[in-house]
Amino acid sequence: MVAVAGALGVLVASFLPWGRSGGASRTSYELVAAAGRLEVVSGAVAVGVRGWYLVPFLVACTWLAAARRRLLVTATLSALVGSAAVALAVAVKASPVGAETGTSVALVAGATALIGAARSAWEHRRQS
Amino acid sequence: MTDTPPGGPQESSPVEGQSPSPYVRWETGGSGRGVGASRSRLVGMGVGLVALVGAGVFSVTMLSAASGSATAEAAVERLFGAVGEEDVIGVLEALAPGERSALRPVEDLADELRRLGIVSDDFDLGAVGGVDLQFDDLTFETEELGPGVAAVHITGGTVTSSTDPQQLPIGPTLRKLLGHFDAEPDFEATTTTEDLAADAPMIVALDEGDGWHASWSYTVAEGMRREAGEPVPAFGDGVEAAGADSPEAAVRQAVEAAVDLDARRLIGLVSPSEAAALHDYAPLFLDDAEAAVAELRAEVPYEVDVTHLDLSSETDGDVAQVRLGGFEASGTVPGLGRFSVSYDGDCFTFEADVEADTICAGDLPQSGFGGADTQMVVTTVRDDGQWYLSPTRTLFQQVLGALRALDRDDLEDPESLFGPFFGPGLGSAFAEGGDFVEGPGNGTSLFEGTPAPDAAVPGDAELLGEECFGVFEDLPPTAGPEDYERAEKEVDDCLDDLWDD
Repeated sequence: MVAVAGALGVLVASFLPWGRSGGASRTSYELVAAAGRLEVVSGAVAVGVRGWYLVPFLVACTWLAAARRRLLVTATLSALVGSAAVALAVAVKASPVGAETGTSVALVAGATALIGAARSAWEHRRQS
Repeated sequence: MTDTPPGGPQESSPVEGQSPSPYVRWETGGSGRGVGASRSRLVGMGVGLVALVGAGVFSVTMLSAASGSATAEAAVERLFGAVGEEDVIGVLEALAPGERSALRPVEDLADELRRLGIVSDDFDLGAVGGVDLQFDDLTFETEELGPGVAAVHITGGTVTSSTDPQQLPIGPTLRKLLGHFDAEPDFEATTTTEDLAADAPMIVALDEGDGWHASWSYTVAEGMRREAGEPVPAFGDGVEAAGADSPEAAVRQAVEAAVDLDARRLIGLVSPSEAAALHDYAPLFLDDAEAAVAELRAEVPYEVDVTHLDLSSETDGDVAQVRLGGFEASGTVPGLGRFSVSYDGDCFTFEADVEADTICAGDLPQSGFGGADTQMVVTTVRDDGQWYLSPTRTLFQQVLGALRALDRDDLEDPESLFGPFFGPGLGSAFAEGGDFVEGPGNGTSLFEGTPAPDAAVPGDAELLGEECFGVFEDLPPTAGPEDYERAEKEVDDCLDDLWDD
C-alpha cells in the first residue's frame, strides 16, 4: 500500500541525519529535542513539535490498521504522519541549521504518505 | 506499486454489490492460497504489534529523557566535544538551561554583524571558518563542591588549534577598515598543540534535576573564589531570589535598591536561573560590601529620593523590555548641597546649589549612532511567576540597539561615526592616507596624522593629543631604541596630563 510505504519511508527518514551544526549531524529526534531545550519553539508549537516523538508509534499503528484493512484509519494516520514529516522537513530546511539528507527523504516519503492517504480514503469511500 | 496490505494478500470476499477493491483482486486464489495469506496476515499483525510496543517505549523514552548528562564529567566532555565540532547547538545544549536561554540573542548579534559587513555574508555560528580546535585524549577528575555542584578538572589531554587567516569570516566593511590601518591579517596559517594538563583548567557542572550541564557562570565564580582563597559557599543557601510582580516593579525595586546601595536586594532581583552563581557565591563578599557601604554612609551622609519613575514595558512570553521614559530624583550630597535631577525621555536636567545644566539628545554630537534608541531599556525575565532583571539579555539588547542604528556606510566612514565624539583628528586618522610609523627595534606602531584630501579641518590634521607626539619629530635620525622608549614615556605622560585636564 502506498500509504504504508510512505509512512515507513517517513520512519526511516526520521532516523537519518536532518541537520548539521558545525561537524555534528542530528537525527530528526535530536533536532526536535534541541529545539525544545533551546526554546526555539514555545507554546502550542512546542507541544506539536514534541509530538514528532510519536511518529514511530503512529507508523506502527498505520501498519496495523492496514493489516486489519481499516482503510479510513490507515488514511488518517498516514495523512498525519505525512503532513508532520513534510511540515517538519520544510521548517528545518528554512531554519539556519544546515539541512541534510533526512529532510529530503522525509519530504518525498511524506508526500508519498499523503498520496497514499488520499488513495486509501478514496478506496474507503468507494467501498462504503 | 502493488496494493498489498502489510501481512500479504487478504482472503476475505468482496462485499456484495460493491465493486472489487484492490485487495479483493488478490483474493481469488484457491483455499490453500487463502490459508497462506491468512498466515501472512497474522505475521504482519504480529510484526505490527511488536513494532507498536517498541515504538511506544521509544516515544515515552524520548518524551521523558533528561536534557543533561548522566555525570558531571560527561557534561564537560559533551561541552568539549561540541566545541571541537564547532557545534553551536551542542555547546548551548551542554550549558545550564538558564545560561543558554540568556545567550539566545547571540544569533541576532550575528545577523547584525553580517548585515553590517563586519563578518562575511556566509558567516555561520555553526562553522566559523579559519579557526579549528581539536581536543584529544581528555581525562577528567571530579571534585564535588556541594549537592548538584561539581568542579571537573581537566587532568590530561591536548588541544590542537589551527588558524588560517585567509579563511577567517572577515566581512567587506571590516576588511576595508583594516585596510585603512594597513592592518589586514597577513600572518600565515598556524597550528599549535598544547598540553591541557599544564594549566589544569576547571569547569563547574550543575545538576538541577534534569541531568548535568556545564555552567560558565559557576566556573567564573568558582575560579574567583579559589583566587580569593574563600571557603566553598553553601550552595542553595545564598542570597534568596525575590522577584517582583511585574517587569516595571522589578526595575523600580532595582532602582530603589541601587539608590540605597542595597547590594543584597539588588542581587535578589537578578534572575536566579540566569545568575544562580551570583546568588550562591554572593555571601562570600556581601558582608564586606555591606560593611563598606555602612562605613561610606557614616563618612559621607547623603540622601537621595527617586520621586518619579516613568516605566513602560513590552512583554513577549517570559521576557519583557522595560523602557525608562523619565524620572525625577532629588536629595542632599555633601559638597553639592541640595540637588535635583530629572529626565523626560529627551533631556537631562540637573540643578544644584552650585550649578545647573540641561543636556538634551539633540545637544549630543551627531554621529552614525544618531539613530540609536537613546531610551534606557532593561530586559526582565519571568521565573516561577516572578519578574527579575536579566543582565546578560540587557547587555545584548543595548549592543543590538546600537548596531541596528548603523549601516555599512556609517562604518565605512568612521569620521562621521566617531569624529563627533573624539574630534576631527580621529576622523583623519581613519581617513585614507593615514600611515603608521614603526619605531625601530621595539615594533611600536604610532599613527602619523596625514591630512585626508577632504579633511574638514583647516591646515594639518589635528590628531587628538597631537602635540604630545611632537617629541618623536625631535628625535635625531641616529636615535636608538632607548631614545624611542624615552620618547614614548614622554608621550604617555603628556597624554595622561591631557586626560587629567
